[in-house]
Amino acid sequence: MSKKMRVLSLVGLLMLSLVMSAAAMAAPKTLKVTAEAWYFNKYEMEEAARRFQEDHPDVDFEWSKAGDFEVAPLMLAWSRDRYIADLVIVASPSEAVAFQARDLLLSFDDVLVGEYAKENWLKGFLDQCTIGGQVYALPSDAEVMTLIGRRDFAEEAGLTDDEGNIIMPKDFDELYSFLEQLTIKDSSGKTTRYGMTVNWSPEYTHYVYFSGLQAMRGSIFDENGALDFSSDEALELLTFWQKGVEEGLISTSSLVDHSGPRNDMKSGLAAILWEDHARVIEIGQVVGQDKMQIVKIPGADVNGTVSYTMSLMIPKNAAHPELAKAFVLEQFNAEWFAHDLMDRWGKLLGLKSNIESRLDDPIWETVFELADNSVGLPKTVDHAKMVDIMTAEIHNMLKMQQTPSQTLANIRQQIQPLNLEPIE
Amino acid sequence: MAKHVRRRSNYRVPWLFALPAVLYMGAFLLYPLLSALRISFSEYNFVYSEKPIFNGLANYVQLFNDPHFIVSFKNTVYYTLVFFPLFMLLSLFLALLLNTKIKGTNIFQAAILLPIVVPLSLAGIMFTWIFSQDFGIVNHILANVLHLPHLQRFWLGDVETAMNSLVVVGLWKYVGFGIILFLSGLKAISEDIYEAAKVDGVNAWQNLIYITLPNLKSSFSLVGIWGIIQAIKVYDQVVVMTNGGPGTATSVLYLYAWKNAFTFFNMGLGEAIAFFTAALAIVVSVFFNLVFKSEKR
Repeated sequence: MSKKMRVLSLVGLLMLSLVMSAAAMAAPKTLKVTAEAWYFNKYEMEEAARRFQEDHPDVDFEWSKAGDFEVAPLMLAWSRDRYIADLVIVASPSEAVAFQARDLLLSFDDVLVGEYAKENWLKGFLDQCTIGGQVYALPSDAEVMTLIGRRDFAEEAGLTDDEGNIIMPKDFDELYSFLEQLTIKDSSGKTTRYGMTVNWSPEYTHYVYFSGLQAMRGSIFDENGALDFSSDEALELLTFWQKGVEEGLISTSSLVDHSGPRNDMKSGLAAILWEDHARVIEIGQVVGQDKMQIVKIPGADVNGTVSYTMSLMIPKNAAHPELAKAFVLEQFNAEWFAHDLMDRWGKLLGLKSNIESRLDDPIWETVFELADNSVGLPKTVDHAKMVDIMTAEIHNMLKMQQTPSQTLANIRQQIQPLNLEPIE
Repeated sequence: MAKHVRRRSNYRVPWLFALPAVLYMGAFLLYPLLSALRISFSEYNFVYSEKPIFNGLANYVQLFNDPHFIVSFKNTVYYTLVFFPLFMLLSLFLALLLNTKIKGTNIFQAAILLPIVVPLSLAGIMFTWIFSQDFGIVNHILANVLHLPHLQRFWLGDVETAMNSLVVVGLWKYVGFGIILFLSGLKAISEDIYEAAKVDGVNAWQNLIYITLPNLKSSFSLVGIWGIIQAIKVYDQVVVMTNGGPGTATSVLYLYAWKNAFTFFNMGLGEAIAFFTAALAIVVSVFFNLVFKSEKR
C-alpha cells in the first residue's frame, strides 16, 4: 500500500469514527421501567413520560411489564450484573433490603434536597425505604391499614351520629357489637351481609394483624423487642377474628382471593372492610363516594396503625441513573401525578405537599392523620418466610382447625429459626 | 478403499442432520438441567450467597424436616390419588361413547376437546367465580334450582372441599387429551375382531371386557403415564385459584418449590423440591408401566 493510500485510509477511519460518535450522541437515551403489569394500567406512566420528554427531548421510554410478584426474581439476573432496567418498582421495602444486601441499589440521598428534602416526605413511608441511614427506594404506592365503612349500612343499623358519620368504636368489644348489628342473616341462618370483611390474603395478613396490634397496644413488638406473637392483645385480636368468622359476622372470602374483600364491599356483601385506605376510593367509585368513610381501628386514634409502601429503586447498573432520578422526582412525584393517583385509586406517594393540598376532604384528612402516626414493619432477611408462616397459621385458625393460642404458639415455634432481626 | 470412505461418510450424514437438535437440546435442556441438579446439592440463597456452596444431601434431608414440605407432599399425593382414577375412568368412558356411531358425536368431540385449547390460567379465573361462595353458579344451582341450600359450600375456601375443587378443574382441562389417546387406540382395533365375535354371539359387555380393553393396553399405559405426570406436577390451577390456601390445604410440591426459589430466594431448596417431584413422577410412571408390561406377558 502506498504512503498516500495509507494516509487516506487513516483519514477515512477517523471520519467514520467521528460520524459514528456523533450518531451515538444524537441517539435517544432509553429509560427502561420495570414493574408489575397492573402498575401501567393504574399509573399514568405514558403521560408522565410525555411530560418528561417535553423537558428532556432526547429521552425515550421502554416499559417492561412483569407478572404479579415476578419482579423480585429478576434479581437473579440483576445480581449477575445484567442490565434489567433504569427504574424498578417492587412490592415492599423488605425486598429493597434483599437487593441492597447485594449492593445492587443506588442511593437517592444526593437528590433529596430542596423541595425534595427528607423532612418533606411522610416520615413513616420514607423510613421504610431507608437502609443504614440512606434512602435506597422511594414510596411508589404508600398506604395505611384501616377500617373502611359503609355509611348507609351503618345508618340502617343506627350506628351513625347526627351528621351521618359512622361512630368510631372505642374498643374491640364495641366493634364486635357493631358487627352484630351490621350483619344480616336469612331465615336459614346464612349470612347475607357480613358486618366485616378482612383481607387475610398472603399479601395482607401480616399488615392487618400488626395494624390491629399497633392500634391496641401502641407497638408491634413484645417486651423483648421481637415481633409480637405473645401478648394478651395478640390473643384478643385473633380471638375477635375467629369468633367473628365462627358466628358469621366476618367474611372469609380473602382466604383464596385477595380481591375478595373489596368485591364484598363493592357488591354490598359487607359493611366494613379491614384493609388499606386506598380501597375507600376504589369502592366509592362503585357504590358512591358519599357512602364511604374511613373508620379508625379501635385505638388507632391514639396508637396509630401500620403503613406499607411499594418501593421504586434504581439499580446500580442502570444505563441512565441520573435521568431515572430526574424522572422520579420531576414527574412521578409531581402534584398532577400524585393527585391523579389519589383521585382514581386512593394511592399515596411520599411527598407531604401532595396530600396537604387535599386536606379539605375528610377522607384525606383522616388518611393524613393515620399516615403521620403510622409505623412500618421492620425490614428483615426472612420477612417473606415469616409472612408465609403467619398466613398459613391464621388461615388454619379461621377454618377452626386450631385455637388462637395454639395459632400464636405455632407461629412462635416456626419463626424461631428465622432471621427476623430488624435491619436499620 | 473408496467403498470404505463412502460408508463412513454415509454414517456421518444422519449425525449431521441430528446435530442442530442435539446442540439445541444440550444448550437449552441438558445444561440447565445439570446446572439445576448441581444447585439442588448446594446451599444457595441467590440474594445472600455469593455462589452456590456444595452441601451434599443437606437440602434433601431438610425437606423431610420441613412441615410445610410434608403437607405439600401429602396434598400432591392426595390430588394424584383422586385425579388419576377419575381421569382414567372418565377418559375411557367418554372415548367409548364417542367411538359409537351415533349422530352428533362430532359436536360432542369438539365440545370435550375445547378445554384443551383454553389456558389453565384463564380457566382458573373462570372456575374461581363458578366456585365462589356468594356469587358462584354452583351454589346458585344448589340453592335456587335444586333447592338443596344445605349443600352450599365455600368450595375453594373450605379445607374439606378446596383440593377436590381443584381436581374438578384438572379433570375439565385434561380429560379431553385422555379421550384423544384412547380414541386413537380404539380406532386401531380391527373391525374384523368384532365381526368374528359377533358371529360367535358375543354381547356388548363381553366385547368390552374381552376385546376392547385388552386391545387398549398400550393406550392405558400411555394415558396412565401422562395422567400421573399431570397429577404430580399440578401447579397452574393452584396458583390461580387458591395459591395454596386456605392455610396450606392446597399447597402442592411445585408451588412450594416455586415459593422457596422465588419468594424465599432459597434456590438450593427449591431445586431439591423440583428434583424430588420429578423423581416421584418418574418412579410412579415406571411402576405403572411395569404393571402393564407384566400383565402383557
